[in-house]
Amino acid sequence: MRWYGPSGYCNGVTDHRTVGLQYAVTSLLFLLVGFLLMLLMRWQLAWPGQPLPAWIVPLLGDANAPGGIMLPEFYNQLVAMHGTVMIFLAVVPMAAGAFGTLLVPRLIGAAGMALPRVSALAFWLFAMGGAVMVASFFVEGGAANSGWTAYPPLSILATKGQTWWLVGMICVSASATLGALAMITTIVRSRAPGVTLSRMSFFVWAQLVTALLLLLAFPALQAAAVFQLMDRTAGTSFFLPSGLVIGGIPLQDYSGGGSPLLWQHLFWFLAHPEVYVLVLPAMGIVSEVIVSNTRRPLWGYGLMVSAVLFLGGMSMLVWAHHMFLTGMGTTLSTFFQVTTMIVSIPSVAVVTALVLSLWGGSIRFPTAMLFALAFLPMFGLGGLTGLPLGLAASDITLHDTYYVVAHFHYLVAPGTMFALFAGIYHWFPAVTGRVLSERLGKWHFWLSFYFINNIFLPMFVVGLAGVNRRMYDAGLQFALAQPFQALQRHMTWSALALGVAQIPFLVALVLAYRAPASARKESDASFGEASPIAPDRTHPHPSAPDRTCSHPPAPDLAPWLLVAWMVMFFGSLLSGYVLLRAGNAEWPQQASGWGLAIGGAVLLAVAGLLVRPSRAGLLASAVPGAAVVVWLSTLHGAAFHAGRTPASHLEFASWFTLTGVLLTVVAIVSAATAGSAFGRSASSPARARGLRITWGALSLIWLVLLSAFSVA
Amino acid sequence: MPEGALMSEGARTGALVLIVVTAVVLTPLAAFGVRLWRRERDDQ
Repeated sequence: MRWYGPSGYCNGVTDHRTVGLQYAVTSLLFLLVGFLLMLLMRWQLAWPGQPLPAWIVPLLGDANAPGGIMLPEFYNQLVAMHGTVMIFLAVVPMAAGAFGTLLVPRLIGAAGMALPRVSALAFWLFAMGGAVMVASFFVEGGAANSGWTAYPPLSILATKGQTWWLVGMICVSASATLGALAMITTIVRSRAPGVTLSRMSFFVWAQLVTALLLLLAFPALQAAAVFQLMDRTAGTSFFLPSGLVIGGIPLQDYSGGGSPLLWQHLFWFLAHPEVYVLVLPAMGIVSEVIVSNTRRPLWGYGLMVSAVLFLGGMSMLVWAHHMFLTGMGTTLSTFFQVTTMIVSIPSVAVVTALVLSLWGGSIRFPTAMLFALAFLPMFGLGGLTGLPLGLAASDITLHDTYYVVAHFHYLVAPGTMFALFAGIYHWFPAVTGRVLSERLGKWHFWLSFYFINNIFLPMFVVGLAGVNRRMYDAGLQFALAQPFQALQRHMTWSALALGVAQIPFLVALVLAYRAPASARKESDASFGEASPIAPDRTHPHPSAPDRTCSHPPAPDLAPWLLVAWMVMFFGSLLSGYVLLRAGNAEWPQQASGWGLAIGGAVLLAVAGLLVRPSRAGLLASAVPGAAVVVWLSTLHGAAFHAGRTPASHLEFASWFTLTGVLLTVVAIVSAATAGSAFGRSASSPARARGLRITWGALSLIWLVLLSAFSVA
Repeated sequence: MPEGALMSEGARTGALVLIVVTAVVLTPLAAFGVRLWRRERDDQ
């Protein structure tokens, strides 16, 4: 197994171990970037307005830190990019990308990922998106500075870096969608005989639910990113309300009527399930490490699987508990409080089952087990402190304070990150054939455990006192924050010490890299019985799967998953349109009529009917799709000539955006259909079936979407 | 209706659409999962 650059992908290097390793190394690098951004933030919070260390100043430049003193604008960039890098570029790619791609095929007895090229493409999209985001530090005005949540209207009016952030986010989210598609298809279709659903390891279940969440929740952010890109580049007002005044000056030349709440709904529809995308793989890793080191099966396997399935579904119905302060109304608040309380139950069930799995075990305490055991109370602390935030009454006080920062960091930093370290120490020998030093590992664990708690426990105190987060002077302009400055300094020293605590891990990595690999490395045997990832330890399992025999990858699942993604994506766009239309007293203009809705849907349905597993059939099918593209493009042009531009009214902004995106998807499917005619799989019935499903779904989506514009 | 209340009304309707779309997608997925699980159980 070795690292390959983009040329490797072009040459067809799509082995799951290579892709998994690429995810692991890249996400570790982004983790380092995110950590360094955090250290800069913490330095500023401890000594606001004072010069940074002399050796750092030249790296930041005069534009960001004139005279060595950090500007508030640069601090805002650090806040936004630390969150973005840590969540989207470090922890999720590590938890789902690296661990999932490396281990899932082995744990289900598959030869590899069911859609290897898709899986590899997902990695390169992630790497590209990450590079775009980090590169934005060097564009005019610096990186995104509106928080990782990118709330409008601030983000619409922000510097160029926000556009780079959006482009990077679209790449990263496309990567997540493709990776999820490959993962779900692999788990459902490529299991070895004997590895039934009820015998799959809990780790694999956790990865399956994670992939489902990525597939179904990310479309909302993709839709939101499209809207925001339109606001920033095409002059639309999806998120800009009427009568906006900035710095005492009314904003000119915009149609208004938009709603900042629209962004929050769509963003949190992804971002709350994203929490479970972070946590579920961590739970899976911890379960494997505990089973291996207690030498007994998991307690309550069925309960845990049921819990994560329920958790996955419910996590998509709790998003607006992040929005209690937006004035969205008591009806919605009540609904989301109830769902939030309900979703906490399965989380508690899983953690309880993991704790009970320790009971009566013959426990070993290698470094991996220490990290896994630490995950349990750390995650518990993060989860329990979240309950007051799920209730509107207490959230009104705690919202946007350091309490919130401490809460979610307990879930993600000493929670998920500790589980990821547990997984790294646990599977490192099986994956690389080399061993990480236990002595250095113990130092790594105990120092990390001590200092990370010294960062986040005091943060609860500061937050409960009411100190707001995201303030570049740590809130010192307000009297209530001043008594806590000593704690802020304590947290900063602890953060620096936490950085030092990672040195044993880095040294262990270097030592392992330089040590001669054992004879078992790079072979399937490294995942065999001697390996801690044998799949039959978590529950009664008659035999280990036959790793040489897997079901042939059945591509018929992928089109249906693609349809699910399309419904969520276009459904999110439609919900945006409905939200804006219902939230405006006057909506006088109609952008299109029933002719376009029905005519386009019929053409797309015809494209589906024409698909046959032959060159002629595929080419014939592409023609109606191309006709729709030409027709709609002409209409777009005509609308522009009539002065109905995206910037002129929200109705036209919605019409141009929704039909534009639909047009793009139709063009892609049309090109893919025509391209398939000249490929080796032109006569494949499965390929033809997949295209038929896609055209049929597009036809229905077209009908629903365009009908919305036709309803008076 | 005041503008703020109207915006809340819009947000409520938009959220409802999002919930309905989610249910439309999750229901067949759940049905597929249950069918797969039953088929595998019966094959044992």
